[in-house]
Amino acid sequence: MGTLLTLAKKDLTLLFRDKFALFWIFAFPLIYAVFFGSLFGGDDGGVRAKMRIAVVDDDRSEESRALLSRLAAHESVAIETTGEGDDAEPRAHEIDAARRAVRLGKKVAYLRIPKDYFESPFAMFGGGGGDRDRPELEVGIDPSRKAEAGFLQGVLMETVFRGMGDLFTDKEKMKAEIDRARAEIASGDGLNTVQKAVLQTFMGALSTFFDSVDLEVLESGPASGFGGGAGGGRQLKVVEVARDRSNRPKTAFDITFPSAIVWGLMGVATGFGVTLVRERAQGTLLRLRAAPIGRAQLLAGKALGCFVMCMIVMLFLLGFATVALGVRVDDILLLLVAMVSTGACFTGVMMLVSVMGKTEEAVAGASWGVMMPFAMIGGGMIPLVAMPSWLLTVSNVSPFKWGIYAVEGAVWRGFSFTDMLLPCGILIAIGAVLFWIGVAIFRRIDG
Amino acid sequence: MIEVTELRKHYGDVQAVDGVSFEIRAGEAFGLLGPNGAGKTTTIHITVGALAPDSGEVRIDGKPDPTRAETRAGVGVAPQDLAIYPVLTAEENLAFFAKLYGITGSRLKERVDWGLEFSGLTDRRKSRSVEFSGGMKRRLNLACAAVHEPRVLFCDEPTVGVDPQSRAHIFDRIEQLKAGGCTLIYTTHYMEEAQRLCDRVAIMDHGRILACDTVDALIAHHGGDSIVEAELLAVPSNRDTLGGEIDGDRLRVQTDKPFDAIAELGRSGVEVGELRVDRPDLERVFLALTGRSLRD
Repeated sequence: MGTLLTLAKKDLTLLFRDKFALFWIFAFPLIYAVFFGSLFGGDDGGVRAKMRIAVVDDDRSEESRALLSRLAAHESVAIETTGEGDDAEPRAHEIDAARRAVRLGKKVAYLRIPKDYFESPFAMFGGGGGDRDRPELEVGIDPSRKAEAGFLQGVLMETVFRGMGDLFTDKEKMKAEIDRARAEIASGDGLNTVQKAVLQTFMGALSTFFDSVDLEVLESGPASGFGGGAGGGRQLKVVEVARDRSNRPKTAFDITFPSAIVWGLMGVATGFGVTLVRERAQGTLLRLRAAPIGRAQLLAGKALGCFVMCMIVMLFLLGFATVALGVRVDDILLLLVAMVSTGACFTGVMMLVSVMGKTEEAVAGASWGVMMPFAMIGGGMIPLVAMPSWLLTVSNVSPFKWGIYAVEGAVWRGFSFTDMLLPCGILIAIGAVLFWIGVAIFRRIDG
Repeated sequence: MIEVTELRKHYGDVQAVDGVSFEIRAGEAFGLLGPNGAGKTTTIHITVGALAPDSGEVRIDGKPDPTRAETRAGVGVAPQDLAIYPVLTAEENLAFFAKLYGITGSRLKERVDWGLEFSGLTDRRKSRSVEFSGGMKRRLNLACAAVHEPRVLFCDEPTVGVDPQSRAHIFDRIEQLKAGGCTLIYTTHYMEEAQRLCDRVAIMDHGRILACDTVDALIAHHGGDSIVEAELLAVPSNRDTLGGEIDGDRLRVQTDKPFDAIAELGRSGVEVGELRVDRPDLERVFLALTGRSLRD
């Protein structure tokens, strides 16, 4: 095992010092994935881009429209209202559509303004005064989107309170609200005579205050920030809407990164394939063949190095996609299975590539020449999800397709372990066959 | 130590090695000489087990099959090509090849240091070999072959294409290895190297060994006579008394007793200017056996 590690480490060191090879293995796939991922939409709505929110306005009041208007003006939020129209009554299908949009990942969340939300006698103070039956704003979001959920709640609070601040700095509106509150207190069933008297006195004093106060003082004084403190008790009702992830990529990067991986692996296979013929040309192969290691060990060391490099490439690209671009992996364990299978397949490809010519140039040329068409029909160029059915059928002959399919299966296709058996089985079988053919040819060449 | 019996190997229509047999004793320096394409390198590759022969046998220490790990552990190879990794440093190259022979830990460090000193690259241990001159690469190539202290060392043209300083360094180091008891199999086109280093020499051509013996014996059998060449300041009227051939003012005498010929010339009273004795050497043996036709 020590010898295998020594051989593998040497090959990895050689490859890591080959800047040209590194470009094709790391830089090109990364550029490819980021460029095309951004081109085709990239993130569908993380915290970096505007959060796309479905809005259901069941209240359909002037206040609710004002709230939505302020929300739409927020730099971090893009809203799509589903409850607009002449119809004054809320429609049940609108909230269903909003939930479905969140479930399918088309929207980050939905916001529902319930009917009579702004009719609460204490809405002006940012809450219902402890009334448990008061209507609440409803936010529906996938529970895994913790960061977005927190961010969105903050944005909503800010927007609601900003509305209250506006109310307190508008004399006419405030007086109208006070009059409405006094009327509701007078007719309120839940209050006894003493409570009504106290509240009416308070409202009267408030009305007097607004009659006498200077508007400019009000706008520049503490009242402008009043909403922040007074509204502290207002609650949002957060509804968990589990995202339906089956057969749907969450972002364009979910598609471009698995494709980019196979480009990287192609670079690895070519890079390692070339090293074998380079060793022969520069004479180090003779020295290795004269050392106390068998031919099988020699090739196994080369294969181990190639396999490790494949894993490094996949970890690098998927790690970058996850950390920097918000790609989420559905199942880490299955991803590991997919990566191991794909790495094994491309190790076999490397072995075959290494015997496809007698010079470095011949091997490199033959490698790209043979692999390129397979990459193109296998999802390296046209994403598997966008392929016409006939091309998808043709792509079955390409190991690239199965590599992409397996990785996508773990990242966003929602594969079960059983689902993963087919692509991984095919990848390992292809790898084993190609490796065996490569070894047989190598033995013949090697004499 | 090494017994090679009736080796044969062909590539397509070309019979690269055609019934080669020789024996090498422990501690001996054995030269394998021949023109380009004579079959020397193929013979070496088969002998170290890197190439399978069509037929024939190689025994090292009495054991057949040179591919056995324990046999290979005692063998080192310095190929004609610069068999080092250009992007690895001098010490990384040495360490890698030492590790292949199971050398680890403190002994690894010791052997790497030895290799750097052996190749005169101690000061350049951290430099990548791609930055080295041809001579430095050649020295490192040899050090990598000897880093695991082999009992048998195959040197395939170890001094080709290097400057006189590096050549002298390499040659000194090889003599040092020989003095340490290492058995050497040495191929070269530099006849003076073989003549100076090798106890015995085999001359190959067209895949066959044409002659194999000590250098002196080869010269005695195949070198021919010495040639005494004298510049005559005055050509005598009776030329026949001098013996040999006169061409202009040059007298050329072919003889197995050159000192007798010079003494005779002195006694004849002829006035001589420049005098030169061309004694037979390995190069003359080589050309005598392999001919003067060009090999490509």
